[in-house]
Amino acid sequence: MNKIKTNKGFTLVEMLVSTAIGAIILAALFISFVMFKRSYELQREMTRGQENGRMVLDFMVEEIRNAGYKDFNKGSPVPINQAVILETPNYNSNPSGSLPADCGEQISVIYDTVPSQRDMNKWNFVRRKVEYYGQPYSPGGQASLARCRLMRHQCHYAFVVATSTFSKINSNSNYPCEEEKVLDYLYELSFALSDYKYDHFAGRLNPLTRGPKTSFNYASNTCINNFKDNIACGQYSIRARTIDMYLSIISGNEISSIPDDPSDNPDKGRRFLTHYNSTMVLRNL
Amino acid sequence: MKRNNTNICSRGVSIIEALLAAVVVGIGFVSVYTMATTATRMIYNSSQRDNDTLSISMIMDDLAIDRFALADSAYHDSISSSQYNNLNLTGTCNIDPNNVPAKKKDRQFKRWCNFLNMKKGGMGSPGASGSSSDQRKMYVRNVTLTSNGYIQKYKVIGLRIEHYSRNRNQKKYYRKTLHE
Repeated sequence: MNKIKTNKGFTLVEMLVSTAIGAIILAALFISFVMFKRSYELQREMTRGQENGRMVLDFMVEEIRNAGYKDFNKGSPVPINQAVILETPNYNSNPSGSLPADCGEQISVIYDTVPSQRDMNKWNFVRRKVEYYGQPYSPGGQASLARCRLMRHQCHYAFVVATSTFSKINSNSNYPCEEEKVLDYLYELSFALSDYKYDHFAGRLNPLTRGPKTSFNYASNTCINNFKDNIACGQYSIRARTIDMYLSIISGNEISSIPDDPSDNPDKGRRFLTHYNSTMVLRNL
Repeated sequence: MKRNNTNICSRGVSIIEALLAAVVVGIGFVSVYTMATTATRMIYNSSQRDNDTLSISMIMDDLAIDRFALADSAYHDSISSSQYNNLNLTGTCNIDPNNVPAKKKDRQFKRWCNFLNMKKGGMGSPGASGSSSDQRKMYVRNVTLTSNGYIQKYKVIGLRIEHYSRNRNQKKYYRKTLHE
């Protein structure tokens, strides 16, 4: 009898109560897990946006600021007749989700660099042409993954005094002619080209109000060809003194914990946008 | 007597004890959750501060490099302490893009003010928390130093930012010195 009493086990009430407590703890654990997961996703996307935006902004600004820099070539610089142009964006036919209506305005700049010591005997200086542009991209052709990415195309041209000519540098890793991916999930890239009075003459960003402009004045085909041939482009006869830039990056994933902001991001799902503004005063123009 | 002792040793936990334990565990969960949300908010704030710093450095660069077009007197004002000191960039500064001011200082003021007020990539509209209001002000001071008989003139440009709204309790002073 004593043995039976000692090993009697739990009563039904004890079992029900312990099960209920266990269930509450499990539910709390599950909810916490979901919250931590959302928080982690949000933090990851915010940090990525911040890191990528800062990085891209830094080197784009550094590069664009150099526009028009002429190496003095022993006192007689070879002129850069058109240092910067702005081209029309690549428009997207079916924008949705992370794919915006267009992949941003395209900017090209030209400036000189001094060759490395090894190449100084061959070339007096090297002229660099760089273009930043947004390009639509769908990995594996999947429309659901469509987005824009920021590309950079650069080529180098060596100047030889003896012949007073430029020649394109090929197969030289120090002076590449290549296209490379700079940033994934680009959402907007806008510029404003202004003269020294901040009078806007190209681009869709208004430098005074930072709002949109209606007249974009993108370079015509003639102007683009002139730019490539170092011929002044009449369309951009006003010299750019300041270039304002607006860049935004969209998060790669939808994050369920982000509240939709109707004034900011009405139709992009629950994605996080990171915005960056900058301005460049061009010292060489 | 022996039976009673055995029962006391093997009786497990009471409902009160179990509930208490659950409450303690719950408090633990709430603490960790609060930590996670605080971390998210801090990252968001750091992103905002990053934008603040970028916006300020843009204005400072703009001012530091902008020493041109002196001949255009209808437009140009030198960066003088009388013109630029105490420039208040806090208030409303929207303008009609088709009717922009003629003088450089006024254009710069509008441009900077709008830039700082931008929600996207700027600081957003100035807010307030309690009795403290956000402040964004520019200071320009003339400094003259004489060393070894040479007079050196400098301008010290400063931007003072005080933010109390949007979970940002920060006071920052950005400064740049220009040699004349």
